[in-house]
Amino acid sequence: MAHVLVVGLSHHTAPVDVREKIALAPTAYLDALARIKAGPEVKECVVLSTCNRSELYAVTESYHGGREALEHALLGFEGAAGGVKDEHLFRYEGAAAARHLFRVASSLDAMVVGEPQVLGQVKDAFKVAGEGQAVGPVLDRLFRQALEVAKRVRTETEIGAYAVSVSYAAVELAKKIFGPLEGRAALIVGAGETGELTMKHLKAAGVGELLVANRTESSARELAEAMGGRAMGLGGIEAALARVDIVVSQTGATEPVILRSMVERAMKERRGRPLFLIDIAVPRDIESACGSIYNVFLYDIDDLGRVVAGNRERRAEEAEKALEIVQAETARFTRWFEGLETVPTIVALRERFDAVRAGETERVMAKLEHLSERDRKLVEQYGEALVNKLLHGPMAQLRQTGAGERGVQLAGALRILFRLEDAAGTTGAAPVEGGKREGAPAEPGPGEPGA
Amino acid sequence: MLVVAMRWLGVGFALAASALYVRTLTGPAPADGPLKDRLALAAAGCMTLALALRAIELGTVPLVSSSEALFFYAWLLLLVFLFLVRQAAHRTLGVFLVPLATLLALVSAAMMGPPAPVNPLFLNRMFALHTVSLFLGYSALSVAFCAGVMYLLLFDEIAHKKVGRMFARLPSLDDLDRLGHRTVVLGFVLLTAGIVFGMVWARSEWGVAWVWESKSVWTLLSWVVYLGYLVTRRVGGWQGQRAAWLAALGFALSILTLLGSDALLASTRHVF
Repeated sequence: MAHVLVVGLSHHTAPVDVREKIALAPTAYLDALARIKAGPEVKECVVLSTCNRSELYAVTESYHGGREALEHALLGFEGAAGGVKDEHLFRYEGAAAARHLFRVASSLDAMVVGEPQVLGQVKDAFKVAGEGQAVGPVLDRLFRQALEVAKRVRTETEIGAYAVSVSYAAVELAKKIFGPLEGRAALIVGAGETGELTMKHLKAAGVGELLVANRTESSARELAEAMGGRAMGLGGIEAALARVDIVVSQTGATEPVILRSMVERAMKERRGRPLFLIDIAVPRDIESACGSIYNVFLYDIDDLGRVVAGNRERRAEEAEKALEIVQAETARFTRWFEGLETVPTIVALRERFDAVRAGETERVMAKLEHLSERDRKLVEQYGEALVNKLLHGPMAQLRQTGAGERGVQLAGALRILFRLEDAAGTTGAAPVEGGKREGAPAEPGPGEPGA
Repeated sequence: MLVVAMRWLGVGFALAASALYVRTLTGPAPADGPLKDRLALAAAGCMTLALALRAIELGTVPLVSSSEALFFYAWLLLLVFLFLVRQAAHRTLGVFLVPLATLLALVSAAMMGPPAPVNPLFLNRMFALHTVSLFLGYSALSVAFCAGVMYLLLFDEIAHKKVGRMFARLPSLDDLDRLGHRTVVLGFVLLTAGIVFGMVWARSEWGVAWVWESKSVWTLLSWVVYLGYLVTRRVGGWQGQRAAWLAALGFALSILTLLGSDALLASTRHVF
């Protein structure tokens, strides 16, 4: 009986100083896979290592042996000596292991729930393991399904639709005001950390022209160079207000840097074109009265904070929906996996009956040489019909029971009664051909959605 | 008979499509299947057939009573939507535009009686030009109205710093504002053309180009509002929120002119 296992540690179970010892670069995956596969226990394996988690997914011969082999392998990762305690590790088996992977792939287990990077990392891990000939029918199915689950979660819930950091929230707002940001211009005043981060995101979102204003021209120039913008002193702000679409301000000034009168004059020149002011400074850089000017959108740090808090709540709600998807998919995988037990039995039973029929037909035919061609065919068909009729009931029953404990019991009984052990005893242990689908048996059971 | 069946079949499809579109905004997740577009297409198809059969029956554009004109208008709205929806930024327009078209189609189909003899006044090329340009104009202005409503809903969330459903599902303010502007320009041109055709027609029938009666006055009033939209935008920089309100006001006047002509406005020269 094969087992699906995962052993690992994540930001839920281990602090960063432990995780960093175990972390593995994707370039080191192949090596690790080869070492793990060298042992007798592990039949299939995938290594997934990111800054938040290091996990080994495997199909093993036995539960305990497999678990030990995986723990050993995990601790054997470079520099892990000491520091890692048993309590830092988690282990899941069977349905729980599948559920864990589905949650990881769809970013429900992430530090910031809903951030999509982890999906790419899961894809890479699967790909590398395939290249390393470490993936067989079970993990192939499991990981493909995990990618499907992630896609479902992304399209059927809005888990990724809400920005959960101040800088991203600002960019999302800019996009909702201006549409695509290509060709838009932005001004950054001061040089705070969040301000710079916001600018980076804006630039990544397509903002073309970038102006950098600072109290001291030299630091403005420095920042402008780093971000690919144009530097100027604070005196240039008013002129810039008439030209740019987005302003991010984060200076250390104690008095407002951007006054209502400045914005009013700028808006006249802009002929009503909207202006988005983002004030991340405390104390504030932009007079709050600017927000009441027509077509001026002003967000201060508290406004952005509220947006982010609301988005976090919404993400949590979406995560609930996503968990339902994960649950359903886990059940689907489990049905398939348990079906692996019964399918070979069905095949073997059919083969056994057919072999007996063929042997007996041949024997009786030898004594019936006087029969015409047509009669010989009749005898042949009689044998086939008999076998089919006799097998039909049990086969249908077995297929219908399909997966689950009862299916496994029935299959076991058949194997004993008809001595099928040599043919079908080692389910899922069939030789594995690096990540190919052909090795996987057809899905049994009624109501099973197509793979 | 076939005309009536097609008409109601069209309304049925439109109702189903409307329900699905509204769900994309109010439903739990943005289900973005192709079914609703196909339903809208089916509705437009049935309505096209109904209108074509009716036009053959009449020998002129099927706009000879207010209910028929409304049905034609609903059909135009669907066509305009099906054209616009091909752009991703306009997808959510269906949430407002399709139900509007459905409502108009439903009301008009319910109001429609058995075909009466056609007023000979209508068997005139100027009649067709007058009505068709006006309704083309009204459909463009309806899009501007829907874009305006969407703008105001989204603006409300952004301005009050309570981003939520609209924020997640509507296109950007800029997209909506530009769509509104473009459709007002188009609608204004068609509206003007429709009025001019009407004047030419009136002169040939009655010898005077402009008859001061309620329908003409109300039409002129909405025309002035749209003119105001364009002027304030160009001169005063009234884009965005104020433009959206003007588009809504103009549309309200147009609809009033259109729907209320029989009862409220007691028109004399305009049969509808």
